[in-house]
Amino acid sequence: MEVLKAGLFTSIQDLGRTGYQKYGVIVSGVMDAFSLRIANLLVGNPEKEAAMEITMIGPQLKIGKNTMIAITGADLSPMINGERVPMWRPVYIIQDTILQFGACQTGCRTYLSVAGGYDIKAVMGSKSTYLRAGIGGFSGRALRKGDVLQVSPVKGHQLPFIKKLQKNNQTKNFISSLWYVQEPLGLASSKNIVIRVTRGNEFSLFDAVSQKKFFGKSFQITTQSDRMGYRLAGDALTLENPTEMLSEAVTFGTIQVPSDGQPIILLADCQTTGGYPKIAQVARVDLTILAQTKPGQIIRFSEISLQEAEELYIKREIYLQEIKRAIALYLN
Amino acid sequence: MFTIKELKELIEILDKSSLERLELEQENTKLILAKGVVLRNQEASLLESCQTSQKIISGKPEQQPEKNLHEILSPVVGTFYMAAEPGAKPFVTIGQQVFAETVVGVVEVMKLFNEVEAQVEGEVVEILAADGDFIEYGQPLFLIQTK
Repeated sequence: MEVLKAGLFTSIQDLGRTGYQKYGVIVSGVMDAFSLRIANLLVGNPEKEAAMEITMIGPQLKIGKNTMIAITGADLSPMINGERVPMWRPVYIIQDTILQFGACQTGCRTYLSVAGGYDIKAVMGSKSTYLRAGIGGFSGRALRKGDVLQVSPVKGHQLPFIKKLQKNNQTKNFISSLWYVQEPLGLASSKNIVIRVTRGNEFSLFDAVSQKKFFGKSFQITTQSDRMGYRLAGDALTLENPTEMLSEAVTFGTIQVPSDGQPIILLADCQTTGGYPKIAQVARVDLTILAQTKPGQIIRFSEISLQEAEELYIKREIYLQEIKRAIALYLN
Repeated sequence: MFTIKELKELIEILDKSSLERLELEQENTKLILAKGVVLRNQEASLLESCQTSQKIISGKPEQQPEKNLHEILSPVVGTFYMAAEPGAKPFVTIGQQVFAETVVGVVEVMKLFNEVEAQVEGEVVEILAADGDFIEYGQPLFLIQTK
């Protein structure tokens, strides 16, 4: 796959570099794990295989060999020869075809998986790009014009996918399946975004007014936001008593409040520890919704219990297993 | 389709077992083996199932010669939906013109959604299934008036 245009910010990410935070190496990985996993299941890859994470403005890619791909996540108007490429299903593309993206219709981040996976050397067990350290992914950086990505050969069990696609008689340079996985409801809506959270370790250190404000008021995602964290703007949140804290572990979804009272939601590229009070933690399943928001959007938080968060997590895992089984049965 | 050998084996197995009835569905074939006394009602439904299977195998719409009406059959067993999402606009409405690749509905099975294409060019004259109905493989979903 050759990169003709890089797009706004395109990088290779998998489910993260785990096991090294104790050495100060961050996890990185995709912002929207749910969309990545489905993208992989759709082409028969292991769920945690690396894919291209495309942000807001998509790249222009020339497909080198006949390739099967899947596109999930935000709708960035994927197109081939001016014709729309359907998302959330496997698509077989003939070689020398150019895949490009247009207007951002919904969401923020799109995932492009390829059957067989991208041939990227794993660093510390992961193919994710650690931008600040310049390791992992494609040469430790975002993709640029002229980059060429190799695709690993498909495994035996992936051939039925391709065979089934080839049965569809289409005369264009791409063939898409007639079946698809439903885009998760609310994944890419841009209005009334409510993120479910559980109380953070230091929630009780905030004064009563601030606690109410956190769940009652809305916050805007500022432009000082990236894969490391979203800075929010809204009513300032204050502690009951000014407290000095020792740094503690933080993770993707931790919401911390620095002295200016404006919350920061830590994201995929966040640091390993933090010294600011943690007012809340985003429920794992809602990281998906968060990953699809962009600077300028307004969000609100709603409180759920740890048990509810766990139940949501389990439900999602069950759903993914069902999809995996359904696809396997469907193709045989 | 079952070979004679497979059928013989199945009959032998059923005979030797204490099972009264064996129903088997494979792709576009439905096989029902029953032994012992068959009640009147069961007989009627057996005949009906055989006729339905015949219809699935031959795939010929009934009224085609007279009126140029084409039946769109479901490509898979599952739940039929008129729109992509609950509350969304339906894919097609009665009177709408469709082309061969127009998606007229989806059938969901095990969380996978299957687009049903019109396969012919014409006008939607009747919708034969309701939103949320459970549909069998080959069940008619729409009637299209072709030219």
